[in-house]
Amino acid sequence: MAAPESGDGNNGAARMVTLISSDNTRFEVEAAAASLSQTLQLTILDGGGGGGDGIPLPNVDSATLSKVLEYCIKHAPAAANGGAPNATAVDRAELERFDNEFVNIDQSVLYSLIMAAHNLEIEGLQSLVAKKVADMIKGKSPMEIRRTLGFPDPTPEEQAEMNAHMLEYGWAYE
Amino acid sequence: MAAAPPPSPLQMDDLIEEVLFRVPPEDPLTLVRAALINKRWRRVIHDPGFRHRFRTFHRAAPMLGVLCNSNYVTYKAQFIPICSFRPPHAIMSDTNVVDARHGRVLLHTLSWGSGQRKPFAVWDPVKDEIREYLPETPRLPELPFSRYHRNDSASAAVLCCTANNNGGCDDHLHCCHDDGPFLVVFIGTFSKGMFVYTYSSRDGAWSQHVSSQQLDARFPDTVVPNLLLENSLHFIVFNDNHGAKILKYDLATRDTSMIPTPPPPTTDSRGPRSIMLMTTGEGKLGFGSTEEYWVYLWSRPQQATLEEADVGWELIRVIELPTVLPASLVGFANNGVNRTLFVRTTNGVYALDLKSLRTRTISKNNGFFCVFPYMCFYPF
Repeated sequence: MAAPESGDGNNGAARMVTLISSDNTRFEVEAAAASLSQTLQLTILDGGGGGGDGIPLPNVDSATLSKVLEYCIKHAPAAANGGAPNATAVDRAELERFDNEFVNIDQSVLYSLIMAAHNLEIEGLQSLVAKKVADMIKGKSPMEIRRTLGFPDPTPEEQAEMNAHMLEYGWAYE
Repeated sequence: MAAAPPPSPLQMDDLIEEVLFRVPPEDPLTLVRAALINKRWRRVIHDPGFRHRFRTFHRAAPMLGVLCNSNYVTYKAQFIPICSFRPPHAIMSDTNVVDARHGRVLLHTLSWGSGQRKPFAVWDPVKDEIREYLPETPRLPELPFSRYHRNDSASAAVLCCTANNNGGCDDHLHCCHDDGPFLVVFIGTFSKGMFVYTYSSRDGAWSQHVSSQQLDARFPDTVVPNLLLENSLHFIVFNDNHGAKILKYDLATRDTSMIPTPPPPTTDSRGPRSIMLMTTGEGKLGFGSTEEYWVYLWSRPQQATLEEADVGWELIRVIELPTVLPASLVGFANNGVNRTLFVRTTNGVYALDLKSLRTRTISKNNGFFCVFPYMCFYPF
């Protein structure tokens, strides 16, 4: 329930905030979009990030931040409607299409997004990227899961431990 | 200032959990395998806190499979998987399923024939163990429960002990497999009236409530699924003219009462081919019946007080069966999110989702009189 900016008289033009990535790139974005981040929300409500100040985000590089903001800008209108109870099926389908497309990305980008969504506490994005990883490991063997996630192959000790636990869950390895 | 390389997000407990929450509870296979990839993932998955959060996150227990008895001479209970879970032992010989609820399966065993006289056992197919052989029942049931005495008939139900309003586990998300207490209700008719025996695993003993009330109806010779709604068990019983009624047993007050079944849906109705107790989407008592290719779904709003007029049954929905062949209703499942009717044709057994009306094949075998859904979270 942020009060509209008072006295600027510019016919409700959206309030903008500036976010600064770890590599010092400045991103100007609507406050409503940046506020999808729980981490940023309080600062923004307090009037931070406006003017020449900008909010520094030392843990997020510019490539990742630009991707994060792409998500926030797309989702901000629906979020502003309080989960959009009156959104049309077309709107919802469009968001779903966007989400599917959005996570169709390289693993390194996905991992950066996981970290950024976590640090910035963007609930919808956290859920979206976690779901993507869950889909990637679905039905795979432990070894395939390791490789899918980019873990190095197990050491002989780790392998022995895996084998021992496999016996415990025989039904899962037939 | 050179920044340290970021840690892999999937080596952080919080983020591993975030991913694991998104593995559907219907897919325990993926979780079991993910638990093997390294020490950290194993520790996260086996943490009791994760188990609790996972179940709370998903809210509705998944259907891991269904249990059924063969119609044919062999006396065996069978677990039919319907998701990625496979029980270590899918067949329990010399037993029949009588009921399944809250992660527990009530079996009627033949073991008493060998002098043991312990006709009931509670089975956990996931943990692959018989939780308990119940002590000898005061009346000895044989399945079909009555073969010797015309007046004798019975049925039985199993439920989490705390379903009986004793607090603790309202949603039954956390009670299964945790060796939580359970209740078995063994209910029936004999020449002098009705009997209800209740077994509490806490006490390890049966308690008896004999009522001289004449039931004027019999439990069916083959066990059919009962329904737990709020604090009452509901059983289908039949009178001498094969007319079906519903026997309601209140677990708290131990009162029994009779509820009529809905009237025929059409004037030229030839009578239902099959019937099934169920709950409506609003959580009221429901009833399903089939005629030809149609399923009729009824709702019965509950009387708030005894004085209030009984508004009776209301026909709320008619569904054209998507099966090619005429079908019978053989089971019902409700996990709070999805309601499923199980139907059988000569081609097999199918699950019909009442929201999407999509069907999936449960078994190509049609030799099952009814199916008991097995719904609980896989225990990590």
